[in-house]
Amino acid sequence: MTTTTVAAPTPHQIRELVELAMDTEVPGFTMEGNWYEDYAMDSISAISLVVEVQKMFGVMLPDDRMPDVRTGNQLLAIIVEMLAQPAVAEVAAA
Amino acid sequence: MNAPERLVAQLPQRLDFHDVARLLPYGAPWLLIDRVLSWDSKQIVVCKAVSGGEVNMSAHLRDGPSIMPGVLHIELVNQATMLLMILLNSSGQRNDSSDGAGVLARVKANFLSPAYIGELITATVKITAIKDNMTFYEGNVFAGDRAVSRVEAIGALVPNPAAVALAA
Repeated sequence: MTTTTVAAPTPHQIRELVELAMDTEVPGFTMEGNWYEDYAMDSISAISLVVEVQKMFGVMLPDDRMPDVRTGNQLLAIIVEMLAQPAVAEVAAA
Repeated sequence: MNAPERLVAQLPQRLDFHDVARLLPYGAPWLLIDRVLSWDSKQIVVCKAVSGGEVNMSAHLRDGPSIMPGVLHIELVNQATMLLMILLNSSGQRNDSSDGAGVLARVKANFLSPAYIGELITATVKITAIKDNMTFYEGNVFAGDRAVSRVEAIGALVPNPAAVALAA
């Protein structure tokens, strides 16, 4: 049995995901910034973010977890968690 | 064979103007699709003859040049997406309006070259994702081999506007 390691997203990729979802540049982006309070992210952008994550990393973020994902660091953490799941790792290795 | 694949196999691939008019909730001059050339579970290809006889074309621009308004490129792609969703979700039946209304939530368009009155344009529209009553799609519009526009959009299903207004 082989173990596959999927690369964790970089902060640059996290920023790219947020900007793709919001369809605009976020000049003051930080990994600690709250998207809704600091960048005025709307509901369409929040759903777009889930789609962009799926496109870039092949993982579907669970709906029930998304209300608690509001910063770059939180997004990075949940993507890493999802990538570590065996089924995802197998798909990524295929 | 999954459900969308069954529908693709059962329903005709090519739809003429009257088939389209039966399926989409639009009439002249707003119905823009003249014919469906092909469709499957992910993509639809439609065409439109840009005619100076249409109100939208003759009024834009009144003294020329004879070009199709950019906003209609966006609408053509939107209508193609709605038609594909109807074909895939409703077994070829028009949606019941009480289910809600499809509206445009976000759009980004690049106009690469004008489409002129007298040209036949084709739009290849692909649904890239569906999430939480939102449909993500992109369309490429060509006049022959010439790319005329590219549209990326998000459509949303909202509650029946009439019902919302009555409840207010």
